[in-house]
Amino acid sequence: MNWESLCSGALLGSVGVQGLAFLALGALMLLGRALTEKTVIFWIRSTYVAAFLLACVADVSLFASGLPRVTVPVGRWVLSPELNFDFVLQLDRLSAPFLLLATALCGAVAKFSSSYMHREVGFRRFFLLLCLFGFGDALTVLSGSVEVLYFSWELLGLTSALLIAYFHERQAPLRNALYAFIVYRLCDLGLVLASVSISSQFVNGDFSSFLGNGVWPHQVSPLTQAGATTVGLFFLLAAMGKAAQAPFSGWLPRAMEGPTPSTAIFYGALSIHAGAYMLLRFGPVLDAAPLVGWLCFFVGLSTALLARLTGRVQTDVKTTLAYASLGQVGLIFAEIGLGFRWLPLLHAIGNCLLRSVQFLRAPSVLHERHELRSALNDASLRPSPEHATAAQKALYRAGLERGYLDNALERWAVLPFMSVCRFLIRLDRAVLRLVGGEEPS
Amino acid sequence: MNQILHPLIILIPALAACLGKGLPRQGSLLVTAVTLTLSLLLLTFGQPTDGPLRFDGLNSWLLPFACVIAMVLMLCVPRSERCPASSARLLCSLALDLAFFSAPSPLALAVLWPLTLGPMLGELQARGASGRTLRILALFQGAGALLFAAGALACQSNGPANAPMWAWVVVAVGIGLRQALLPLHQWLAELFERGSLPTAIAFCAPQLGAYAALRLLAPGAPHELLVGMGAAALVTAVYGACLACGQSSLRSAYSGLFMGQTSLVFAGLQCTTEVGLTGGLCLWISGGLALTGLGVTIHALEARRGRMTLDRYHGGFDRCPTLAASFLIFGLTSIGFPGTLGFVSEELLFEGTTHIYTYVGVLAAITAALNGVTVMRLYFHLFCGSREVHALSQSMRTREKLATLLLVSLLLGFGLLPQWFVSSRRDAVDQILSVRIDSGQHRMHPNPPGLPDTNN
Repeated sequence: MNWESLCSGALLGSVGVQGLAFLALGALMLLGRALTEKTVIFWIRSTYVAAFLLACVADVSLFASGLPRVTVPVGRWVLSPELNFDFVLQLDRLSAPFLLLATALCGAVAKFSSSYMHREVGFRRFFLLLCLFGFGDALTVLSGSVEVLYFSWELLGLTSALLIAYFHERQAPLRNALYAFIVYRLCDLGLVLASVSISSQFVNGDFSSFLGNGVWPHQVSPLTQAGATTVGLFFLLAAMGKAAQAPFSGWLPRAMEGPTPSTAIFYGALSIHAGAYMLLRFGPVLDAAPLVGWLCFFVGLSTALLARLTGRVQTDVKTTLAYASLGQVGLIFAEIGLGFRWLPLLHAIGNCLLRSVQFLRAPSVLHERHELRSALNDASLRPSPEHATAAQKALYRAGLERGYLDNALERWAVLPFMSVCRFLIRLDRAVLRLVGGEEPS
Repeated sequence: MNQILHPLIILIPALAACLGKGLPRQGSLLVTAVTLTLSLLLLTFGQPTDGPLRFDGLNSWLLPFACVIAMVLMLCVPRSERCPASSARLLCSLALDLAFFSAPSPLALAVLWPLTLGPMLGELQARGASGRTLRILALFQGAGALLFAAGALACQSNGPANAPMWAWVVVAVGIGLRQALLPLHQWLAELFERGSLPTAIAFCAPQLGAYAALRLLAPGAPHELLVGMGAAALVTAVYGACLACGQSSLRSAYSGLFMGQTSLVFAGLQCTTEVGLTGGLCLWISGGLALTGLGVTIHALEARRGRMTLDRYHGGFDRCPTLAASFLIFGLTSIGFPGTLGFVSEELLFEGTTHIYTYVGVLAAITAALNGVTVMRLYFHLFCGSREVHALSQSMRTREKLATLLLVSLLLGFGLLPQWFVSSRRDAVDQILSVRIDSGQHRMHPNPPGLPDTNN
């Protein structure tokens, strides 16, 4: 067995165990089997230990083989003269560290959650969704074609929404989950349209077809500047939605309704960085489309400023951390827009690790702080009153209102759209009254 | 093989329907199961034939498709609604659908079209639908049947190649009425809102209008008419998705979803490219099955809780997790979520529609996005958001579990391994396009660079 086949096998194994764990857990739950917490924890731990070890083997064998990338064709969904959907996975210098990061963080969060979620009503549901998220994130990282990326991208969005709505007996989490899902869904249109645009030019959506065959990050896209700009804009839209970049950052504070472990892995670490990962992957398209690069820079910079402003006025630790994470993701976007590749990669990995630890530690820190306050009779930790200037007050208000972006979106997009929908409903009812007479009481 | 199996597939449910009240308790289910088995045998071993009962690539999958829908509806009818007369009407509807899908000529389609309205109107009347509902449905559907018959007769008498434009337009309007295309769609919401849900599904899910369009319009209608109908279907799809987003009634939101998805199918079928047509044919099956699943889940929920609205959260997830999971799976399949059969179908459809309509084609993707939001909204409102107050058990019955298992295995199985299914649909597309090329109506569309030109 050579290094390449070892790498391919390990790669498939690392993704496959997570997918199988989800399927097995899901099937047993659907069949109504009462799984104990111990059984679920054993399964999940074994899954992530196996996935992490296999990811290590895949990474080591990739570097030992000396190849720029290892591509694993898993199968072909559709084969016709006009269109192919290839299910291709690939490991290269970009995906290798992210795969390790994803499996390690999922494993760590699973371990943490096994005690944090103890005796929660939705214990099994949480781990089922965590498995699905882990599978989706590994696929996102390893995707070798736009179709696989879209496949995994949607899995991330769905699991994110379902975990925000984890405490489903309360209405606020449901409303927030729906808000997040709407943003995801609309921004994912970018990925659909990019996929269609690429497939119409290259028969299939393999990355090598439109990113070139070079070594990351030195690939050269064969797309023309106009084509690259169109496709690049679509990719940027999709990345902005998942990474909560302005003006789509309104869902991020709402997403804090979910359990702390899922918040840590989604909005502190992996999910929120998926947009940055995607832009790093499609760096050659951005290189061929300077306009998209500059747009990416401005979006990132404005998000970083907004996150800084908003994060400073938050009153709960999770939202403050989420904005801190968002600010860094904004900077990563700006770095990508400026043409850097290794710097944002390292920045993203560092931010993922730091924020995960901060999110997971947050409940304990709060607890310790309460104890400290009690011990010190609450005096020395109380903030001293300040006299603010008018500008500071205006900034404070803007921070509280999250830069007024939510209000603007609601006023200029949501309300007009809902008005149109209601008008159409009234119109249809009027036609029915005209044809059939008054509605029976 | 065809000479024996094909007539049996239509005769068995028709004869069983004639028995009416004399049908044993489980008889209708058995008859549907036998018909489904025979249609699967025909799909596997049947040879294309142009006899009095037509069998080819186009309808080979539609026969078992109609049987699966009927089977699922039979399995999921609540005990309180189960009666021999109702089962007989469902069997009659199945027999007529199968006969429609096997009709050898446009005139046969025109004759069968009004007959297919009978079971639906009869069932509505038996269930005490208001005069207004019956009036609206009779008016819209009667007009559709008449227009289609007139147009089909004109096309048949002149021959498709020499048929006047007005005849094609009349056929198109008739089909538009049956398919609930804008601005002739209002009856759909009335049927779903005021009628019984299984009746509405049995009438709409097989999409006989789409089949009539493929048999009559696709081979010979002018290119401009097909493009116009496709564009109208895309606009209808977004319109339906908007209606679903704004509804506060569950049934109306479901009818909006239905309208959006069936219009997407129709838009795909009006494409004159291989990819778009393949997408339309695939979405026909996947969307039909998924929406049927979604409908029976809603019906099962209503049987337990009564009519539901979307202006409040109903909760109850913990009492019926399987029902909630089924709802989510069917909903996600209907919007083309990855890993399901809907995903491949919608991807093909997006490719096809954007290739033909460029900017209007984007509407297909917007429809899918809006429908996704609606599915999630419905899921949250129906199963989440309040503490459990329902005293009765709401778990699924064995029959419902069987129906769900059948649909889920089809939708996920073909979703993960769609090659065989898509290839067979692709063969049917070749058949449609070859007839169109023979009639001299096929307009070439440039293929993507690097592809062999299959148009010539």
